[in-house]
Amino acid sequence: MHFQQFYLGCLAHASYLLGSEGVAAVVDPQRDVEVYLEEAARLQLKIAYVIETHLHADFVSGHRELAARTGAKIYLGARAGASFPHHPVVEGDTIRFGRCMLKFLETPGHTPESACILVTDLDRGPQPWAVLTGDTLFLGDVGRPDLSAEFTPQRLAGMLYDSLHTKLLALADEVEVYPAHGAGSLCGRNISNERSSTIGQQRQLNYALQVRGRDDFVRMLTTDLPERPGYFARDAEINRSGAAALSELAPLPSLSCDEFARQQKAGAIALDTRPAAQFGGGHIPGSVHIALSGQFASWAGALLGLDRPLLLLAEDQPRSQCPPAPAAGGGAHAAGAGGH
Amino acid sequence: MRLARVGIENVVGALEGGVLSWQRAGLPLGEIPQISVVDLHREITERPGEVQVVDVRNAGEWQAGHLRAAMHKPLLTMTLGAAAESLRQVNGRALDQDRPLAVHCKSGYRSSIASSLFQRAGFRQVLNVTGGFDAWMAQKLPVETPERAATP
Repeated sequence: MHFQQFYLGCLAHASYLLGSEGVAAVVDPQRDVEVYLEEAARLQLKIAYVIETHLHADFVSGHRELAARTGAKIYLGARAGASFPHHPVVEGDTIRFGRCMLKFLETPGHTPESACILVTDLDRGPQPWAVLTGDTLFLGDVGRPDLSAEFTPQRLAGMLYDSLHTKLLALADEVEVYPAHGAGSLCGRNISNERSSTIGQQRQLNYALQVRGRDDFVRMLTTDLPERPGYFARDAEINRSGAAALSELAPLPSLSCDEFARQQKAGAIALDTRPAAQFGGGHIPGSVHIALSGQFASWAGALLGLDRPLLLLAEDQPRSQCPPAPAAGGGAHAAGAGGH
Repeated sequence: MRLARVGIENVVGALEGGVLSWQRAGLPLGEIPQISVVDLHREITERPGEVQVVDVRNAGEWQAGHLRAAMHKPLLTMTLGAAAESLRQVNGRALDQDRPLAVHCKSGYRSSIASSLFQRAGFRQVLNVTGGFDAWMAQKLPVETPERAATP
């Protein structure tokens, strides 16, 4: 089977493409879904399944657009209460295509509807070789339990303890672990830099798995939680109903200096996306600097909110290796270096 | 595009030609000087109390070790939605907008964001610390670890 990780630096987010015998599944897609469509076409795979391990709070997912453009069916935990057509996943559900078998584990904790996916490649053997852990288990960390409006962090942390110890740690040591986020993500506290690991390594090294006893775990996980970015609740709701397709968003206009200044005076925030040295050397007074090189989108959402009108400032010399910016979406100039 | 990934869709537009066209039009520009960790250390040692140092890393990073002269203000608390007044304080202590304010994080990415927010809030002498705490450690400059927790 084909297994591929897509890593997006600007959100510290990982998504996955799994394929076999002409059929593919995409797990936790980012909003701009072109990458999966192109890769699937190149590999001559038809995307038939779009799987969300949970309702993401830190980014807008492309599940609906990807499903609409491929005819794929969306799989998401039954407890999400999502309003779009989907298969409500429960414990033990399976998907099989070609030599690939996916089996769902319900793993509430980070969110009530969180699920993990066991991946079996029948060419390798009858046992699962990997598990996609979403935001339940990260490399060196676990998901934060404080993003639900419905359950207290204490309640969710307790569920997370049970999910980790009865479901994930019950797996064999050699099973590979592929989470939905990497280092720096606002969804964890202390995620390490690697992109994959094994259950055995996490059993040994992950601080959160060293804590014995449910009560101690709950106490540890609910103490000193990092601030919760304001846009998280909004994004989770957008994902529950499914975001507008990017192709429906208006293209980004170019502004003259006069128009830019007028808009800024009217309350729009100038957002400068250039490298720090360029910004430091000279910038439009009043602008906020968030460089494209880091977790640009996460910080923009967390600090600026989703509603303030923004004015973009891009690099003086667009880098030539940049992929062409999509025609639609919030900023042809902001498309920047690929992969962030 | 990247902004739409988190659900920001209210982008009015981009400045044609970027900051260069602004400069060519003769419009005013702001600056945030970059300061190296070695220069910052010298400033702190030679003129104690003159430079205000703000560390914008998260609580876990702060607890693992920080500059003795630093005050802690996590970047995540510095939202545009927060009251302007809260940006001018650290733990209830007012910062002086007319004295130099050196801002650092781990590597320099977050501190540049914070520097721009401080400048917007009216600080007149904001300095962005190049290379952040990583560079400070690499130069083996002194660090304080508040909790006696064993270093990992």
